[in-house]
Amino acid sequence: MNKIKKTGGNRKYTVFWPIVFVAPFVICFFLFNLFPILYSFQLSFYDWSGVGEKTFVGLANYVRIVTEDKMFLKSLGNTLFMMVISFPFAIIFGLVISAFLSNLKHGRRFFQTVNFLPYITTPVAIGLIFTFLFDRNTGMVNRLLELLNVNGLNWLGNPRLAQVVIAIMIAWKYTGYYMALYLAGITSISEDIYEAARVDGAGALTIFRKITMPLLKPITIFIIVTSMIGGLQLFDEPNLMFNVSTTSVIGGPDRSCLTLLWNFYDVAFGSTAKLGYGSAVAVCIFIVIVLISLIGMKLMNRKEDVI
Amino acid sequence: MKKKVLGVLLACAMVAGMITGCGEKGDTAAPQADAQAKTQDSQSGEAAGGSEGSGKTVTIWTWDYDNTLMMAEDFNKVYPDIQIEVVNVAYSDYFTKIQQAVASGSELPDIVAQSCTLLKNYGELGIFEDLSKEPYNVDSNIFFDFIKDRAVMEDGSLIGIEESISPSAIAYKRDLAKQYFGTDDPDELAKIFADPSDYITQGKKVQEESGGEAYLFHAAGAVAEWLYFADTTPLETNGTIDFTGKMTGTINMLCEMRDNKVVDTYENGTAQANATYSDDKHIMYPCPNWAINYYIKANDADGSGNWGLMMPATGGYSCGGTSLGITNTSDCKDEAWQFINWCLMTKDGAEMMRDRLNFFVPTKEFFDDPEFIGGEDEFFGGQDIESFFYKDIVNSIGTLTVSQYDQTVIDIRDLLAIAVMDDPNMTAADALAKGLEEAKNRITDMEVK
Repeated sequence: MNKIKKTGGNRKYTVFWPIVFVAPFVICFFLFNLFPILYSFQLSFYDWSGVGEKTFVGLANYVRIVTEDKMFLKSLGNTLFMMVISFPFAIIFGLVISAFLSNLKHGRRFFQTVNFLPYITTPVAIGLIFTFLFDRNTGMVNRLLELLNVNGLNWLGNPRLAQVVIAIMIAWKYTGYYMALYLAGITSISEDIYEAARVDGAGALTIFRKITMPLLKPITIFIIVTSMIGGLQLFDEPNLMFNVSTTSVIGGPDRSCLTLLWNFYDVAFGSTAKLGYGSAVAVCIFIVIVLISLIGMKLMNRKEDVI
Repeated sequence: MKKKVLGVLLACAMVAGMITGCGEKGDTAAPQADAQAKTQDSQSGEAAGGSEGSGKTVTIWTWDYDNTLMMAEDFNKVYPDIQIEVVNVAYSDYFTKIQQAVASGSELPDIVAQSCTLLKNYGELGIFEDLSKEPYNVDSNIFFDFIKDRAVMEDGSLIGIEESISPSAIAYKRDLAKQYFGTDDPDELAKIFADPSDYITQGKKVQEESGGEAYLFHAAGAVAEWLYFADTTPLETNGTIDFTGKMTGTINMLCEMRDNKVVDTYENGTAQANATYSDDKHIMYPCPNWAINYYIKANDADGSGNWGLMMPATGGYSCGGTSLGITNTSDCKDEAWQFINWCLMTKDGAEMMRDRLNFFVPTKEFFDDPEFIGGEDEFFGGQDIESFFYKDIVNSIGTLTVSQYDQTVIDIRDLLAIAVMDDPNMTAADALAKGLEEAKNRITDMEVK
């Protein structure tokens, strides 16, 4: 009798309660994540503007993305370019700043907070600040250039320079976040290893190169993988930067800042909404992100093998 | 036992917390997702005329929140029993939210504000009452000719009534006009700028005399907007988008202005561009009637007496505008119609729109009354800008046809304005070719030439 009671009690704790506590998440996941994903996949085979009848078009939407839609490829190129010229700098700066801060005796918390602030600043404010900084006629950056007898640049009107401004914005925003991650990693490295290196006569640079950097490799790989995924989902920064007036154009000058997600948003929800085609674009973005993530996971696995 | 009860209660609370907010009628409206959305019931004033009300609430989504609130306040003085709920939705999100609400089957507002460049797109949603039929019976012939068919769809249905006819002219700073052109009289200036090429000649003169400091216009985007709406070439004819025909004049003029430094390099509509309204380096601004409050007075509050309005060389044009339409799923269509009808189609409403919003409704007959418009405007140096806008300008406006691709082409127009100003070597032909390629890529279900 006791045994039966005990089994019943165990079931309560191993089956009933876990289900009760996990159920809300699972239900929400199915309703708000899985169902929309599957529905989008289904929609991608239709021509549908959001109202009226859906028309089945098979793979036509995908064929158009691959063969005709210059904007998809352009947005992919824009996104990769802005990723490449921004995230490496943010990662390097984050690592270097964390290395300096870890050795700082006084004011460490202050500098940590200052560097982390951009990450928690509201994106709307960041967009406005950068618009004011880089304005062609009244921006601070051009004023400084003029003081140095250099002609001001059309930062927000020139396609390439606009991408550079977005890259600066991303680097500025994420450096503090990466610094915090690296600082946590540095803190976990045993002081004994540093002590031993110093006893062996290693200098600060050697210690950084031979001890700190290798031991932070797992964190670096994590940062690179999440940066790649986050970078491919770039939307807020360029959108806020080039959506400051009613006459702003989609994607900034020459669509140079049109990212994958901005292009998807415009195709799916713009003035000429095509939800079917937009869904196909979303599926393609999903595939691109999965591929990049798989490469990242491979890197992480390789790292674990090494350890 | 207490712990178990507590655990059950907590679990229930968590589940309830997640599913609440999904069922309330008011919460299903798309704007609720907008953190910036703010709602406010209009305050009921004293009943002036008295009317039997139903006690229902009419919901309006609008980006023009303050003006719509004023309309609701005055409406409630006559119809105190009809509550008007004004929901603020950002302009850039507006059409998307309507589309999403339609696609998801969410509750739509009773009244939708339809931007003039998206009228065809709104019509295609199929969600509006035909105001030309029972019980509304609006005959669009009572409106000004250039605007009467704007909200009429291909099937003949009238999906909205314009709030304001948006006549547009050129505003100028009187002190700078005197300095560079020797006069601040609008008629004299209209003679100096009688032909579009005069803007180039006079713009060059301004540059020379100011040592390169002053410009005739502040932003290529503003000039492009003026030239685009002043050009009555139809964008869409017989299933073809005539991008080249519609844009050639605008782009040619823009390139010529750039080459002769007639226009400065500000991006239209930005805070930096708006600051030029109060400087002494930019003289003229393309100016729809609504821009007087939105741009001129907002950015040059101390400029009273220093502004004038003149006839553009292209003639008057109509720029911007919003129509109000009633959704066919509304459960208070009668009340929604009473609001639209009183504000936009009665003399009392028209006077309210004129006095409180500076808007002039599209019904022609009100303008036949000589006392309806007219009077000196101190801000404009004593000029009678109402008569100017609603007699001189209105009579010179050509009719523009609308297309579902208006907004798409306008986006490309602004893209080209930025590109032309960035690259001094870009010719009009280059810009047009680039624009045509863009248009072909974005418009896939029609021929684009």
